[in-house]
Amino acid sequence: MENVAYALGRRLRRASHPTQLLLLALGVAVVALASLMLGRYHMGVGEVLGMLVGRVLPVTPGWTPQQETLFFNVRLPRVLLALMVGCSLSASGAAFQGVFQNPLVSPDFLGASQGAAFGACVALLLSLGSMGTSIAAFVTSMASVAIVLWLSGRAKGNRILVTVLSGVMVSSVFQAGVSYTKLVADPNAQLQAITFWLMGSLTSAGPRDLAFVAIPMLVGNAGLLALRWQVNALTMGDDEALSMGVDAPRVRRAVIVCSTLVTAASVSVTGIIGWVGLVVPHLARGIVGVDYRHLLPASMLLGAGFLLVVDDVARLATTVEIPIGILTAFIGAPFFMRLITRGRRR
Amino acid sequence: MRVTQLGRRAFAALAAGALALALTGGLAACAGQQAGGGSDQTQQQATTRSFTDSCGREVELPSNITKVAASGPVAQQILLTIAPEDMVGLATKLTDGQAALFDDSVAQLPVFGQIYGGKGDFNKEAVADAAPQLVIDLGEAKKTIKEDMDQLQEQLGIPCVHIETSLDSYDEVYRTLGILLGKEGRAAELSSYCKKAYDEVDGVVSTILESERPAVAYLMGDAGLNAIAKGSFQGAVVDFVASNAIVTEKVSGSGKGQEVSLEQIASFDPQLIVFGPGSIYASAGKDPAWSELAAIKGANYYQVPGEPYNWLSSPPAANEVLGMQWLARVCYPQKFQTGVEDVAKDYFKTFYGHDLSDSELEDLLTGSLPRA
Repeated sequence: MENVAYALGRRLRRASHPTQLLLLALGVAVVALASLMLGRYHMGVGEVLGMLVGRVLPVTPGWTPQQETLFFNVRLPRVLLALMVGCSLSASGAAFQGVFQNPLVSPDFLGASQGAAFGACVALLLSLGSMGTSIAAFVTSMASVAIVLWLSGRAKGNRILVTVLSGVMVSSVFQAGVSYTKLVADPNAQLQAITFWLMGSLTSAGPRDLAFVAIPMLVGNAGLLALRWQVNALTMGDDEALSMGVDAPRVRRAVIVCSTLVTAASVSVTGIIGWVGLVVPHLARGIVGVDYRHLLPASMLLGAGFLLVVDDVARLATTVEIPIGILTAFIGAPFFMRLITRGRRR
Repeated sequence: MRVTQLGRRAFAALAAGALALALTGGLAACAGQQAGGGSDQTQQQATTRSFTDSCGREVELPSNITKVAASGPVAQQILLTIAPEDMVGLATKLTDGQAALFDDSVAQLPVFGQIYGGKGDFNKEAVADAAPQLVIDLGEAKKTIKEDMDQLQEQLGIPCVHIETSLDSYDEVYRTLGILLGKEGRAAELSSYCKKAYDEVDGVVSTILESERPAVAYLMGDAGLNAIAKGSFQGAVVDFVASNAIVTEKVSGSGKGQEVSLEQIASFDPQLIVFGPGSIYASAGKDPAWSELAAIKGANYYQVPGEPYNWLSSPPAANEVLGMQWLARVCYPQKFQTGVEDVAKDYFKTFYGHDLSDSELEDLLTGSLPRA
């Protein structure tokens, strides 16, 4: 099994870039279709395809109303959300790793996740409802990164270093805020809600969540895609970038804004899902190389597919949902270690 | 080189476009769903009825319900006492002690998880697959309950209702459930038990001035330092029956009560201490630090019975009815005709159809019998 995977991997690595991306896209499409057919509630291949096609063309329903309700209110939104969140987290992780010239940064290292967590916890404490919680998380997430940018703009010294340090600081302040909300939360309902929120999960995904995240995600991801050539220049250092006619600080700010937009949107509806934004870009690098013109789209596709597969495990493994944040850490961390040690041996 | 680069750009643009298209398509499909759906509702009209739940939601229900699911542990505890045979799944796995009270089939039901603030580990597809006709949520009314219930009902396509519970309302809750589930007879039995028990305890407690009630500390955790403070949801029984010694500025705290130090407990100076199941009841008397407390020195400390559920607080469900009768007898033993053993036997018989044997009773009530 592993040999087959490695053989396939080698094949994929040797193919030309457009072919690689095409194959990845195909892979994601196949996984997505398969995920739509998998579930605790039985829906056959014909029924799923029928329901999908039935949205556009008139098809005689060969499915029950119950199946239709579940498909369009539970399964389809969830699969789409997994794809979008996976894509977003990986894209912003990859972009951050480029503009900060550091392979160990993840989408939330400027405080986006902790900021969102604090906003969500306060909203849960005030019982603002699920939409209110998402909005609060999104706003505080954006605000926390804005604070980081403002702080680092005023600080002296190495730009990247002060940005990273501001991120660490702001994160820890918000983390303290989260701890405090846990302390004062009502243990019977609010504390549990906070705990589950912090573990990250796509359980609550519904059409409303999709509508909420669609615009920031589209805008942010499009921005990142448009900037991928400039990100390439930044990976070589600010001075090199300048000699190529790229204004490094400006591009970095633009990337931070786009990345934060997609990360904040993701976190605001799913809670904290770690590791995806860190691991997936490295996987993608192993396939398409370090050139961001290919790396960014490859990360997006790979991330979408990866998170979807992990979420399938989260909802299918047992009759109880497993919070996906736990799974991504369980899968991501050992996988990352294996990736590192394999590279060493070669 | 130039040409291939253009090709890649074009490809990337194409990919982005395709993604956008897929997303909008999916969104439109999801949005379109709300308008569609519910085509054959008219023919079901004859067999449905309307029910208004505790948050004022009017819900159409099948008139004959034989399959239900619980949204959380409170609903599970109560539904298992009235209609275990109608449950299609559980919110949390039963403990061995709980499972022993039911048919094997109950313990083997699938576990769906529970909803908390819209998230939680409630697996909607698994619930739908078990095809309950009704999902019941019982317990305290959270502020977002209406929205949570509406959302769940919309996503599942299965009616969901919330019925609020409190210490003094279990009789009504059972009556309502009896009507919902077509089990009026069984419900009347449980309902009258709850009413009688509450009235008896209330009759005794209301004759005792607030200032004359013993100051009780309810302590949990493996160090006995998690206190259930006055005014908290888990402290309802203690607050009702006695006077809660643990008074803090900020009610509530982390999962299992609020962490306090032994010094604080000493300064609250409780006259009576009840330790949660699995806490330090057995060792408190031998611990030099604890044995300085007046309540421990005077052997005025007890263990809260933990079967089939913690009698005082977890979950805060019908087991509280048992807990209030127990705590009242511990606090005011001379005011009651019947003992804790009689209460336990009667409760197990009424709620679970189980006759407690003498040895079961002894295990159950270790450290829990009034010593006055």
